[in-house]
Formats: sequence, C-alpha cells, structure tokens
Amino acid sequence: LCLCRAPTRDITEGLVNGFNYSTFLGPGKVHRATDTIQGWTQCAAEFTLRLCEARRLRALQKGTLEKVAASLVPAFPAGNIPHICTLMPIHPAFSRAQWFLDELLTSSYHSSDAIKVFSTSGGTPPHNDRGDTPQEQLAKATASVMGTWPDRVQYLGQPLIAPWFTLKEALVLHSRPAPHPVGLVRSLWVELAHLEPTEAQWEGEGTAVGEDDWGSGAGVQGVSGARIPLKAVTSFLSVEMHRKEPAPEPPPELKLTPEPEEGPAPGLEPGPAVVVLEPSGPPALIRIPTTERAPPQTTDYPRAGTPKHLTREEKLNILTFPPRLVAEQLTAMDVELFKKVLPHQCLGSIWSQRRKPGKEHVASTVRATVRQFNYVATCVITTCLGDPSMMAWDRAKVVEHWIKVAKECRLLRNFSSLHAILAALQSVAVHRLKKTWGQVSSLSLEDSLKMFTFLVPITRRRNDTESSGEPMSLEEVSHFPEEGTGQGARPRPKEEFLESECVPFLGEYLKELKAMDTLMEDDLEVESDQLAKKEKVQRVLEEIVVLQEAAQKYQIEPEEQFRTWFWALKRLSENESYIWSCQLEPQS
Amino acid sequence: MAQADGRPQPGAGQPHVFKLVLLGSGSVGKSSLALRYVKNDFKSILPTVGCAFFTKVVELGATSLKFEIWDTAGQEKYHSVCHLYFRGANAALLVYDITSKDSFHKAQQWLKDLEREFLPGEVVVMLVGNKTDLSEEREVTFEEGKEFAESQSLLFMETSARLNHQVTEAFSAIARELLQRAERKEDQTRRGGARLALNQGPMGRAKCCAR
Repeated sequence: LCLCRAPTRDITEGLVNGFNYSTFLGPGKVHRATDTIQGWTQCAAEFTLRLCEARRLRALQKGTLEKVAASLVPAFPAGNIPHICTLMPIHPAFSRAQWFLDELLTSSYHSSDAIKVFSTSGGTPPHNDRGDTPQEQLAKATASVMGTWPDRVQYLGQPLIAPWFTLKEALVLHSRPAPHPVGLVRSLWVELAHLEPTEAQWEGEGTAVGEDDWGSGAGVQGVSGARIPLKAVTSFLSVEMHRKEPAPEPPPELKLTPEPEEGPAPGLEPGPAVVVLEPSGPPALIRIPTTERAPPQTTDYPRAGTPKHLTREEKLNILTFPPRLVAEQLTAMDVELFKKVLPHQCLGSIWSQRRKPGKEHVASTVRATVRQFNYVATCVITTCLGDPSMMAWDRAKVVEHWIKVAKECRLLRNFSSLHAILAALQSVAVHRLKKTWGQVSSLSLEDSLKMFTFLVPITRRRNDTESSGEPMSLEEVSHFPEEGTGQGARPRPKEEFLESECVPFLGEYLKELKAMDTLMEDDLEVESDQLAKKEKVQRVLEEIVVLQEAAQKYQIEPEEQFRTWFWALKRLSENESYIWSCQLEPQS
Repeated sequence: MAQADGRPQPGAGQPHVFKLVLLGSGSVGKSSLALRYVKNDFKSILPTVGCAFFTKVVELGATSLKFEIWDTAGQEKYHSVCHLYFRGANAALLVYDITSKDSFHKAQQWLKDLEREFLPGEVVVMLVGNKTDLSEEREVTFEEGKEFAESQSLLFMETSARLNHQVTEAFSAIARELLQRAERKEDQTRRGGARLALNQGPMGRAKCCAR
C-alpha cells in the first residue's frame, strides 16, 4: 500500500509545503488570522522548528500531524483553503480522511467540553476574523477537508465507515462553505453505492435517521459505530439545525447511476441534495434535507421539453442566435461546470482510473467538463454539415458564424468552448469540405487562421519561456498574444489571474498532470526530483483553484431559447459526420 | 511560425525532423513509452513538462533524425482534439494494452481515423502491444497483433515500457522506415520532376482553411 511506502518523507514534505503555502497565500489573510488567534504564530514557529528536525532525521516528530489538524480550525478564514484541496490529496500521509476528521472533532473539542462549546458561542477556541463561531469554524474546516477527499478515500483503500457518511453529509450541507456541495454529496453517494459488501458488518450499528428527524432538529441518532465523540457531533448538529432557516423539506428521490461516457448532458446535475438510498446499500443512511439555497443555475440543463416544444425549437437555426449570445451561453454552462471541478480529480492518478471497472464514477466533475466540451464540438460539426438542402454558401455562413462565436469566446476568455469550436472546425468532417471553405469570406478566414495558429503552437511559445525556469502556467498558454504587441509569451504575475476571469481548457491540465504522474511512477528517480515534481503537481492544482475563484466573477443570465435549442439538437456521431461529409463532397 | 506542421526539413546540416504521434485509448501506456524512450533527455524535459511533445535525436549510422513525439496524454476523451494532434504527422504509434482486448479494437479504430486524414503510405504506422510485463493477464496474443498489422501493412512490435523492453527498438524501426522512405522520395525527385508534380496534388489538402 502506498501509505506504508514512505510515509515519513511524505509527511515532512506535506508540512513544509502546507505552511509555506499559507504564508505565500498573501500576508493579509494570514496576518489577520494571526491577530485573532494568538496561538497560531507560536504554533507555526514550533512547527518550523520541528520540521527542520524532521527533515534531517527523515522522521516525523510525534504529534505533528495532530497539530496540523488542530491548527486548521481557527485558521480557516473562508472554509475553502486552496492548500487543503490541492496539497492534501497528493500527500498520502494526509489522506487518512477518517483519522483526520477524528482529529478535528476530538482534539479541538474534547468530548466533555463539547456540549458547552457547541451550545454557547463563547467556547475556548476564539472567533476568527470573520466573526465565525467555533462551531462554524469547525464546520467549515470539516467541510473543506471532506471536499478534498470524497473519492480519494476509496482510492486509497480506506472506505469510510457508514456513520461517517452521515456525518460528512450533514456537515457539508449545513455549513456549505465548500464551493461544490451538490457535486460533493453526489460523489459521496455514488461512492457509497460502490462500497464493498463487507460494509454489511455495519448493519445494525447505525440507525437510519429519517428526514423528519432532521427537520425537527432531533439530530443524529444511534451512530454507535463511530469512533468520535458522538454527543459532541449530535449536539453540534442540533445547534446547526436550529440556526438554519427555514426547515428543510424532504428531497425528491432520485436514482444516481454513473453517467454514460458520452452523449447529451441533460440531467447532468441532479437538483440540490438529491440523494438516493440504495436499497442494498449499508443501513444507517440518512436523507439529506434540502437546504434553503436555491438550485444553482447549472441545474437548468434542459429538462427535455415536450415533443411539440422541441419541434418548434428545432426549426431554429444556429444563425438565428447572435454570436455574442451563443458565446455567453456556452460560457455560462462552462463556468458552472468548471467551478464544480474538484481539483484533485484532475490528478493523473485519479483521472487514469476512469476506465477501470467499478471506477466509472471517478473524476465525475472532470468528466462533466469533457462531456460539455464534446457536446459543443459536435454541435459545431453538426450545424456546419447541416442538411442536404444547403449549398456550400449556406454552410460557409454557418462556419463564419462559428468563427464569430469563437472570437466572442475569446473575448469572454472562455478557452474551453473556444478550443472546442476551433477543434470542431478542424475536425476531418468539416475540414475536408473544400467548397464550403472556398465560400468563407476572407475576413473570417483570416480570423480563423489567427485562432488556428494559436491552437497548435501553444507549445512553441511555452518553450520560449524555458529559460526562465518557471513553468509557464496554462492560463498564460491559453491566452492569446495581444495582436501586434507580441507579448503573449511573457508570463504574467499570478495575481493577475484574479483580476480577470477565465474558463481554461482543462485538457491541458489533465495532460500536464498525467505526464507528471507517469514521471512519478519511476522509482529510480532521485528523491529531490520526486519532491520537485510533487511541488509542480501542487502548483498546477493551486492554479486550478485560483482560476475557479476568479470564475466566480462571471455573471451571465441563462437564455432559455438558446439552451433549449442547444440541448435538443440532434447531434451526429463522429462516424456519421464523416460519412455525411463524404456525401456532401465525395472523396477525390 | 506558420511552418509548424513538422514536415521533414532537410538541409543545412540540420537533421530531418519527423513528427510522431502516439495514439491509443487511455491507460495503454503511451506516455510511459514516450517518457521511457526520451529518458536520457529527461532532465531537460523537466522544466517544461506539459509541453505537447518531446524531442529526441536518433543516430542511425551516418545519418541522424529528430523526432517530435506528440502525446495526447489524458486528452483522449476530447474527441475533436485528437485530430489536431495527428495532423501533419509523419509517423504514428498505435498503442494498445495486451491485457485489454478493448484497447486493441480501439487501436484499429484509430487506424481508420488515420486513413481518413492521410493518403495511403503518407505516414509510417506501427502497431505496438504494450505491457508485456503483464503477460499472465494477456488478452491479445502476439499472433493476433502481428496478423492484424500484416494485413494492414503496419510495422509491429510488443513492448514493455515498465521493463524498458523493446522500447528503443520500436522507435528505431520507425526511424529507419522514415529515412528509407525519405531517400526513396529523393531518388524519385532526382529521376524525374514531372512525375512528382503529378503526385503533389494533395499538398494543400489538409490546410484548406488555413490558407
């Protein structure tokens, strides 16, 4: 098991990285935390000391990991700390989620004090700078920790025991500082459905908590299998329940199954808090109360309309939608999916698992973005090929339209859809239509040429920066050179990312992480190289998180007509489009 | 900038540059093969990992050539993107995993895709069955692979990226084939320009929208 292989080294690295990252995060944030939490600076200093020793001895000082856990709670300003979701998944020492949660709940809150702490707001741990009460801090910390793992835990062969799921869900849903609660709960449940039958041993130990119990604030009952101070948790939950308004309604039942690889994405996101009870699954499963939060915008993927509705929409043509509108709507869809991506699911080790039997649910948030990408691409191909009644000139108009959409995507800094559209225009089926391209206006051709050349030589520009020693970030790479200025190759300072929102093409990150993963598999590697690679992986993940935060800035209202058309469009498969294309213009 | 399509560029003491693409479904070991092969240049790659291709200079007797090895690593799911990778390629490695029948079928599908994009004989294609170290779990026999390769006139080899078995050999075989074809072409050029002019029809074929 990889946990046993070199735990000491990993732990040491983890701590070094973790705390370096905290300071690096920006003096502002950490400083504020220091003001309010007296113990923090001291604790950090002590850490550094211990770390030096640990590094030299290649062994971890006893109790260090516990301190990390203890430090998490007051240190969390926003509940979503990048180093939690980026650092921890790549360091096996931190992947013992269960231990970690135990630690969070036990060490910070001794069970004897628990009730007092949870029921009054003046407990021992101080308020943080946001005025969060201790229980809020704890909830946020826990949620963040959980946001890090859902499937990773399984991957490491450490399935969480059933009562933990109930706790996790409850905490996540009630504090919800994690940016992707819906996706999170969903993956938890999918994971649960995949638990080994051995989980049956938990039968009888936990008791299901009905939805009504939740509504009435009765709390979790009888989770006797847990190794944590349950009293503390239950009372904590009760407090939380009372604080949240209004009383939750029972959620609709919905069966969750791993989604098919390809195909339309309707129903991509089930409603919030839609959770299924697998009848065969372990007992002690609760249903999550629906929370007060309105369904996120992403849930408005087309509920397939009535047939009548569809026929009307199908008559619409891509040309009836202005390029800007199309670009905006595609961006809105991409943004929602991108924000939901759990960064660790991009890791090469996770992403590569997706093909293995029983792992179909792995990396679901990443797959959702891939599916959307392919859906955009097939939409472009299908509309460009059009129907037999169209002449080359008509097709050229569609191609020109998409080139305009691509330009708009570029202005919106949506590199995902931009990439999808350009890739589709260059797909064999569209690319080979000489007559059509012959009719495309020279202006559009020029535009497309500019954009096409951008796509391929990405790497060349990246090579230009090799001398700088710093790997060029993907965002920079997916950034167009400003016309005429030739500045595209220059790396920009990291802070600038936050200034402007963008949707990256995730494929570049996947490729990079996959390559790193393949490199890391090599045991012959010197330790320092391994460390350098891990740092690099972490940097890539951090970058994703930073971009996700920036993506919050997008504010685009969904436009129903386009969406309905987009989802209703019957797409040609790759093979069909090629055959179709050959019919339009026979092979020479 | 525009001449980024990796066509052989002989002359001026520079080695021929050939673009080689790795194709195959996920987890068959494409990246591992590439990394194993360029291992000696490994250190120089490190700062720019994430770049779309690796380069490797191959010495073959008196001549040398330079490979640009393009890997889709993890991007196989983005359908239309893969075409971007193999456009302008001179050689393709169709990789499958000998422990997965499915990956063998996928490799055949990739071949079809290649055929759509290229004229017969335009690219050197090698079929590679990887992961021979897992021979107990083998699902595709050596004969099956070889038979299919022969029926399609592909080069064929079985490798193990993990054990570094036959990896260099596979790439060298492609290099030899590429050089031989290049020489043959040069011969033809010398013998008669008229014939070549006729053959040159489809030059701009893959570039209609980029002109």
